[in-house]
This record gives sequence, C-alpha cells and structure tokens, in this order.
Amino acid sequence: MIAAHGVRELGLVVVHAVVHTVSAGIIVYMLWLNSCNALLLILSVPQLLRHWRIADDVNLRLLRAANVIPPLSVLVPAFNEENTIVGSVLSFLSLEYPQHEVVVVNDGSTDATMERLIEAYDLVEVPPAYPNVVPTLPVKAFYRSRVHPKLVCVEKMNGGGKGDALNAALNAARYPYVLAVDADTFIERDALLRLARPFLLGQRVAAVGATVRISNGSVIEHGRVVDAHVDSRWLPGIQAVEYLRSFLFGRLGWNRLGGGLIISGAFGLFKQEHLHAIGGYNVETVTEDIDLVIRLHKYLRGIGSGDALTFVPDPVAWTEGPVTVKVLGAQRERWHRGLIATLVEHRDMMFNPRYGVIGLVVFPFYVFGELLAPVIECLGYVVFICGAMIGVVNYRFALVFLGVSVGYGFLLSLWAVVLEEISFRRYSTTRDLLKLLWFSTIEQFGYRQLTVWFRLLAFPRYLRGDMRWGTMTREGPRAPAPPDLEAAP
Amino acid sequence: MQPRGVINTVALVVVGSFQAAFIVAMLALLVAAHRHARGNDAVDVAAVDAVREPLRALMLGEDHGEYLAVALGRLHRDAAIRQLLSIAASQLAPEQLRDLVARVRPAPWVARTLARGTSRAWWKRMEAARLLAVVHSPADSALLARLVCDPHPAVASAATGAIAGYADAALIDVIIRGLSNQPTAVRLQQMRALRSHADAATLVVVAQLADEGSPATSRALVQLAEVLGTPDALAAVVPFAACGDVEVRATVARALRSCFMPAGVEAARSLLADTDWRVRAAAARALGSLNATDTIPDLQAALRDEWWWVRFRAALALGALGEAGELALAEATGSDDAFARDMAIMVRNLSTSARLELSA
Repeated sequence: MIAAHGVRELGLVVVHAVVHTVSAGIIVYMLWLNSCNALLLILSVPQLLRHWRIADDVNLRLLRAANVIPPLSVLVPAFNEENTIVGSVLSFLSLEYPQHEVVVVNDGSTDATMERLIEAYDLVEVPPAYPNVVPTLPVKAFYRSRVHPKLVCVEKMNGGGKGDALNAALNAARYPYVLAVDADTFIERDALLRLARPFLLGQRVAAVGATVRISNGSVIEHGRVVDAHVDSRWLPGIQAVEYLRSFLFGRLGWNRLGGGLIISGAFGLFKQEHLHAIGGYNVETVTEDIDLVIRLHKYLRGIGSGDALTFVPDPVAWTEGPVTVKVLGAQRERWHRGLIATLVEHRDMMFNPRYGVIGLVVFPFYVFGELLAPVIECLGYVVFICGAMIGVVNYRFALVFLGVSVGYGFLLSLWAVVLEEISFRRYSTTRDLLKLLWFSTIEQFGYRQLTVWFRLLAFPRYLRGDMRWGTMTREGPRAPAPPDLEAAP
Repeated sequence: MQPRGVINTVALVVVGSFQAAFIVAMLALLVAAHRHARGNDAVDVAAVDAVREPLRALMLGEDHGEYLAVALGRLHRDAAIRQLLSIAASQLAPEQLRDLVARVRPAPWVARTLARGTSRAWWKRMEAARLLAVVHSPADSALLARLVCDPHPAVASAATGAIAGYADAALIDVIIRGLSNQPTAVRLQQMRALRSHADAATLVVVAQLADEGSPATSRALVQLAEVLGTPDALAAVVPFAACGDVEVRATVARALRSCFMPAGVEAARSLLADTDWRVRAAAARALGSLNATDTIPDLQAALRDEWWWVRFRAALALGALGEAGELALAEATGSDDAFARDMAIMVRNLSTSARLELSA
C-alpha cells in the first residue's frame, strides 16, 4: 500500500517535471519566435518607406515613356480553365509594360481550354522556334496568335504537374526575365512596371517577389480588381489579414536580411538564365515556388553571383482565397507538406556558413519558426490539457500567458494593417479598416487552431510519401453591380 | 502559489502591459493615419477642382497661364507639384506648357522646391528633379548637371526628363562622361534623351571613343552610338570590333545592325568568328539587318555552330537576305549536319511576320 502510494507520488513528480519542462520550453520558444517577428517588423519599416516614397505614378510614367526596362515573358500554366482563360489571358496581354509577351501552357486540359484560346485569339499552329533547355513532357503543338503578336500558346501532355507546365513555358519564353503567374490571378494593370523598379534603381536582380492579396469581396471586371474590399465572411476576411501580415512585413523584413525563402508562385519575376542554369522548376514537389527559390539561393552562392532575390511591396496580384474550411484545409496541408519536403531535401543549408545569412538565419527560422510551429503549438495545447487533468496547471499563469499570446498575434496583425494604411491603402474605406481590425481579433480564436491542425496533418502525409496536389475549388469573381437604371439620364 | 510561479506571472503581466500600451498606440496611429489619408484625398480633390477652370481657359486659349499659375500658387506645395506634373505630362500642347512654365517659374513654391535639389535626403532631391524636368530653363544648368549624375538612380532618372528640352554642350559632356557609372535603366533613359541633341552628342562620342577608356566607358559609348544612330558615331564604333573585352565586342556587334557601310559589314563578318557565342549571335543578326548578301557563305557556316542561338540568328539572317538567302536555307535543309538541317527547316516554316517578330 505504502509502496503503491510512493510509486504514485513518484509518477506525479515526474509528470510535474515533464509539464514544467515542456511549458518552460514552449515559453522560451514563444519568446524567440516573437522576437524574430518583432525584428522582421522593425526591419520592414525603412524598407516600406523607401518603396512608398518612390512608388508614385510620376516615376512609373517615366519608366513607361523611356522604354528602358528589360522585356519579360509572362508564364501562364493552365489546366482546365475553360471558363476563365480567355479573360485572364486578355488581362495579362493588356498589362502596362513597354515590351512583354504572354506564354500560355495548356497542360493537357480535359475541358475546352485550348479550343477557347484558339477561337478567341485566332491561334495558328507554327513550328516551335525555341531551344528545349529544360526537359519537359512532350509538347504537342505550338501556337501564335494572328490578332495578338504578344501571345504564344504551348499545348503539352498532362502529367508533370504545374512545375512541368512552367518549364514548357520557360523553354518557349524569349525574353531575359520571366514572370510566373497563376491563370486565375488578377494582376493590377501597372504591377509589372512597379515590379521593374529594382532595375531602375540599378539593383542586380535574380528574382523579384511582390504582394499577393485576397480578392474575395472585391469587385472584378475584365480580369481586374476595380474596387478592392475585405470580404465580410470570416474565412476569406481572416485570410486578407493573414496575407497582409505575411507580405507587408514578413517578406519586407527578410529583404533586409538577404531575401526570404518564398517568392509566391502566383506572382514572381525571375531571370531566365538562372532558371535555365538550375534546370527550371522541380516537377516532384507540391510547392514548386519555395523549392525554386532555395535552389536559386544555392546556385547564386555557388557561382558567387551578386544578383539578389528581392521583394517589392506595391505591385499587387489578387487571388481568390478558399471560402470553405475543407478547401482551406487542403490548401494549408499541401503548403506545409511542400515546405517539409523542401526543407528536408535542402537540409544541408541548415546552419551552413557557406550560404551566409540564408544558411545561418533564414533557413533555421523557416525550420523552427514555420515547419515546427504547429507541432510546438499543438504540444502546448496537449500539455495544458494534461496538466489540467492532473491538477498541476497554474490557471492564473495560464490565463496571463494566453492573453499575452493572443495579444501578440493581434499586435502583429494590427501592425500589418497600420503599414497598409500609412503606405499603399488598397483598402481605402473606414468600413474595410474596421473589418480588418475585427478579423485580426477573431483570428486568434478558432482560425489559428484550425490552421495548426491542417498543418499537423501534413506530417503523416509527408511521411507516407504522398505528393498529390488535391483540388482547389473556387467560387469565381464577384461581378460589378449592375448600373442603376433609374439614375440613368 | 510558489514564488517562481509568481515571478513568471509578474513577468508576463509586465510584458502584457507593454503589449497593451503598444496596441493602444498602434490603434491611435491607425486612426491618425486614416484621418490624414482622407484629408490628403480631400486636398487632392480640392486641388483638381481649383485648377479645372484655369486649365480649361489655358487649353482654349482664353488665357496664357497666368490664371492657372495663380491657382497653383494658392494650393499646398505638395498638391501644386502633383497638379503641375500631372498637367505637364498629359494635357497641354508644348507652346501652352511653355507659357505656363514661364508664369510658374518665378513662384516662391517652385523656388523652394528646386532649392531641395541640394538636400541630403534623396527623396527631396527627387522632388526637385521631377519639378525641374517640367520648369527647367538655361539658368538651371548647374542644378540639372548635378541631378542627372545624382548617386540615387531615382533622382538621376527623374532629372533626365529635363534633358530632351534643354542641354548645352557642357551638360551633354557631363552626362556622357557619367553614363558608364549609371545603372542600366538610367543609362538607357539618358541615351534616349540625348537623341534630341544627336549632333552635339555625336561630337562628344566620337571624341571620347578616340581616347583610351576603360571597357565600361567604351561599352557605354558604343551603346550610345547605337542609340544615336548617326553615321559618324557608328563609324567610330567599328574599330572596337577588335577590342579585347568580350562585353565591348558584344555591344559593338549589336550596334553594327544600324551601321550601313562596308566597314560595318566587314566588322560584323569578322565578329561572326568570335570566340564568344553571344558576339557571334549578335553578329549574325547584324549581317541580316545590313542585307549583306555576300556574307551568305559565312552565315551558312554559322548554321553549324555549337550554340542554338547562333544557329537561330544565322538562319533568320539568311531568311532576311532575299532570294539568295532563301536558297541557302533550302540548301541547308539537306545538310549532313543535323543542327544546320533542323534549324533551316524550322525557320523556313515560319511565316514572314513571325520571322520579322523574332528578328526584332
């Protein structure tokens, strides 16, 4: 009896020790992560001011008039986009830029994507006049448009994923810079000119990333966001805040430290010769954008190039965010699975001084601050519940800790909203501002825990070797309001 | 409660208090920024309203800019600059703009803005450069020379807008000497602006090409000669085809596309045998542009080059050389060299418009 009591006491002591140790570890982790975010936040301010001072129309007009920025090819992979492809291509063709071409790759669509393109743009089949620098699945046909000399289309077999389609487009591109976009992305009309600002500033550039925002709730006309608003629904509304936070200070902050590891696949500019040199996009990953950027960092270090990977905050591309929990879950799980696979594949960069700040600071941050974040946060919840069950939780401490965590999350979102308001102001109404504040607050209760769970699901799927993309369903753009007939003259 | 727990809780409460204070400050900043932005929007709307009528009068010839100059003078300085730049960029005929500038130039707000051209803050210099691009006069030569060579590319780029309107020999000399130090975009912008003063610029280019310069300087001068496109400037470029620097030779090969003289053709022919593929590709392109039919055997040989781009440019050049070139291409379709054969077949299948577009 006494022995059993002793064992129970010993067990409780051990459990106490484990709970306290794990709790202490989680607090240290939280302090580290928050300090990193605070550092990024501080670093982002001078970067943002620098761009904001120069990002006005006068400068863009000079750029346009002078025709001095390098020509570029817009790469558009398309798979089963029959409903939107004609409008999307037209919006890409009508982007303001002195010299650009649009290379559409129909990645073996099973719907009428190719027929729609042929009909709308009067495409004619021509011999492919380009070198196959990057190997891809066979190209079936190569088309040029009789009505738009800037448009070329490649029809290839499906099977290699988005990376393979982008590689086919990369082969067909004939300009020194390429801009990878998604077929369903809405790019602002002057975004390419803004994206070219590093060239005007004389920077040696290997890649330029720009801002992606959530288009849900905005009015879209002819493939353009004509009236930007924050969606009133909680899921896309919170994503609007999330994207602001990620792009406005996250990526700007990394800019100061030599560039982050992500340039969005929906809107990123690259020097073609570098992509050729690294063999184009990886076709065996579900997040080809992060993989590409990491390989580019490695390649540039390897050849001792001074070309930089930079981020410019004011060119904006709009994309539709998931509106259901199921689709959001699939998206976040895929993103995290891709992140795990890529970071594991390039683990030799971790704390490797050969890669400078990228190896010593940026890569470890992505491993501990991004990849492991859901595991550690989940561990925190588990330890709290276990602690509560065995009565070792100091509730006053737990409550204050929760308050500080939630407050910190809110503070970061609030800072992103402030940066948006003092700089580029895409959301200009008071109502939108209030919505952003509201979603910044409620993000901490439910949404955050949901995304932790979705990201956790990525680990077993990664371990099973699952590299499927899954499907992303979209509800389509919101049309402009019909004209007020009674008010018409 | 254990003492350690108390300390932890107190530490967190302190952190939380700072956090709360910061959140309150952020919210205050947000409200202030929002009000300020709305205020700015209102100022801009009011400024547009204020200049609408005077602008209409100037455009209809009812006034020579006095009315508009007074209206601009009444605005806040930033709003006045924005309005003037916007009006100058898109709405006025050159003589109307001259009238307006003559009236606006003596205004105190213009003098205050131009005085910022010597500021240590680049954005203040940029503001001065933008305004100078519209209101410049010969009296501003010293300031313009300073701003077009500004270390910040955005300032140099903004000031370049003034070059097309006015540049004396001394200013042209300063600009051309500074070209090799400018970022590519600004360099090209300044070169294009110098086209408005092609004769004076040609004299400087020819004189400077005759001097021994660094490869970077030579490259910039050769590039300028290409942009100017004057026969004298292009003739001065030809000797640089034998330059030891590969970047200079590549620039020369590109420039030779517009050099319609026997020496230019000979230089392009010699560059077709260069050790660097970029030079060979550019030389093949130049031979096509120069309509050099007597170089067909050289271009046929280039169809067997190990580099795809050299073969491609050679095939397009042959396609541009009329019947004789087409014949050479047809002959190459039966070549024993697979590279030459495939390229000839591909280019022969392209339509005329596609060939023209690919040659551009």
